[in-house]
Amino acid sequence: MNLFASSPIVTREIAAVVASYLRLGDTVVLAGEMGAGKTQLAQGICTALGVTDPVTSPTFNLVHSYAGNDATVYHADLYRLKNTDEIADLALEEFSQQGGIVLIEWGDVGDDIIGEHLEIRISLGEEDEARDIEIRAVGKRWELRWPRLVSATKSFASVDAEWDDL
Amino acid sequence: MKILGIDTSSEQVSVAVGDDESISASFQLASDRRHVESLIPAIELLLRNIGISIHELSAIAVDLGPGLFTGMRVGITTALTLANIAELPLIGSDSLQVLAHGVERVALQELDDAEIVVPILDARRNQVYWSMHRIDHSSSGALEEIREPRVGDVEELIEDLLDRSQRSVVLGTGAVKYIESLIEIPDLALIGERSGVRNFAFNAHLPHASTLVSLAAKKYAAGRIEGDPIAPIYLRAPDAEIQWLTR
Repeated sequence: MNLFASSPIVTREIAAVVASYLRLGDTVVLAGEMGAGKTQLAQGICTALGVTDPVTSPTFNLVHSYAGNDATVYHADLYRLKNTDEIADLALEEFSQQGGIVLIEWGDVGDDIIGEHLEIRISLGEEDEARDIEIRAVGKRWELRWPRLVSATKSFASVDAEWDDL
Repeated sequence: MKILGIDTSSEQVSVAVGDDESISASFQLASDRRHVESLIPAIELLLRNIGISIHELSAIAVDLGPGLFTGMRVGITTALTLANIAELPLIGSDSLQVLAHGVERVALQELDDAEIVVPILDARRNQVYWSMHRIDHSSSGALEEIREPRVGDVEELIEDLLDRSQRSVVLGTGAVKYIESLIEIPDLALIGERSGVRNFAFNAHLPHASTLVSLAAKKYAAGRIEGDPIAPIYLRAPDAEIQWLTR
C-alpha cells in the first residue's frame, strides 16, 4: 500500500500505527535512500513500543537493543556491510525467534536471508518535508493482520493510491 | 585425563567434565539462551565440585555447530579463552556428530537393527542441518560418518534419505519438527520409537556436552587433537557480495 506523510510528525504517526500491529517475533525492514527517514521510522516504532532510551542510528555498532514495554527491540543497520555472510553473521533471526522485535535499516538488500517481514520503504516526496511511504508484507506471517493494517492507515493513503482504487 | 566439554550450540547450556570412561560432572540448562550469563558460572561450579582447577584439565572440547549463531560464539570464544589461559589443547566437534553419538548414551538398543543414524537439527525457515552415520555392528555399534554436515530444505533431506534407502534412526530438533513428513520414508524411525524408550538420560534431540566429552576423550587418547580448526561451522548459503543499488 502507498501512504503519504506531509511532515516528519506524520511519518512518526504512521510508524506508531504500524507498531501497534507488531507482534513479538516480528521483523520490519526499513528501506529507502540516505536521508529519506529510515531512522525516523525506527524512532517512531520504538517510541510506540515503549522504548524510552534515545534511539540512534546503529550504523557503526550494527545492532542496538532497547527495552520496550513488552519486548526487546533490536535495531540493526546493514549499511556498512559488504557481503551476505555478514548479514547472516548478525543472526537477526535469532533475535526475532526469541521473541524480540527486529528493525533492519537497509534490510531490503538481505531479503533472502531475513525471511518473513514487513517492509516499509520511505522516499523523498515532492516537497521538502514530505515523504512517500510504501508498505508491503513478505510471507504469511502478516496475512491476517494485513487488512487491518490497511484500514488503520487509510487516513494516510496517498492520493495516487485513491485514484488507483477508482 | 580430564576433559571439559562446552556445548552451547543450541538454546541449551551444557557443560561436562570427564574422560572416555565416565563423566565426573555435568550441568545442563534447558532452553534458556542465557549463554553468556550461565556458561562461566556453570564451568566454575563443576570444577569446584570435582575439586580440580582449570590447569589440571587435559583439554577443552567445544561444539563448533552448526546451530544457534549466538550460542556457538559464546561457547567457542569461552573455550578459546580458557584454553589460552591454561595452555590447553582444544578439541572441536560438529554438533551433528555430537547429537548422533548421543544415541549410544541415551538408547543403545535403538541401534540394534538400524543401519544409519541421521542427526537432524532445525535450521529455521524450512531448512535443516543433517549428516549421516553408518553403524558398524562389527565393532559394538561404533558410528562412522558417511555424509558430512550440510544444510538444505527439508525436501532435500527427504530425497537424500530416500536415495540411501537404509533402515535409519533419526533424532534432533529438526527430526522432531518435521517427523510427519519424514515418517513417510520407509524403514525410518524417530529415536525411541523402536525400543519404546521415552525417558532419556537427557534431551536426545539436542547435542549434549557429556557426549562431546567422550568423543573428545577418544580423540585425545588416540593423539588426534592437533590441527582442528576451532571456528564456528555456520553452513549457510554461499557468500555473495551485497547488491547495493541505492546506498
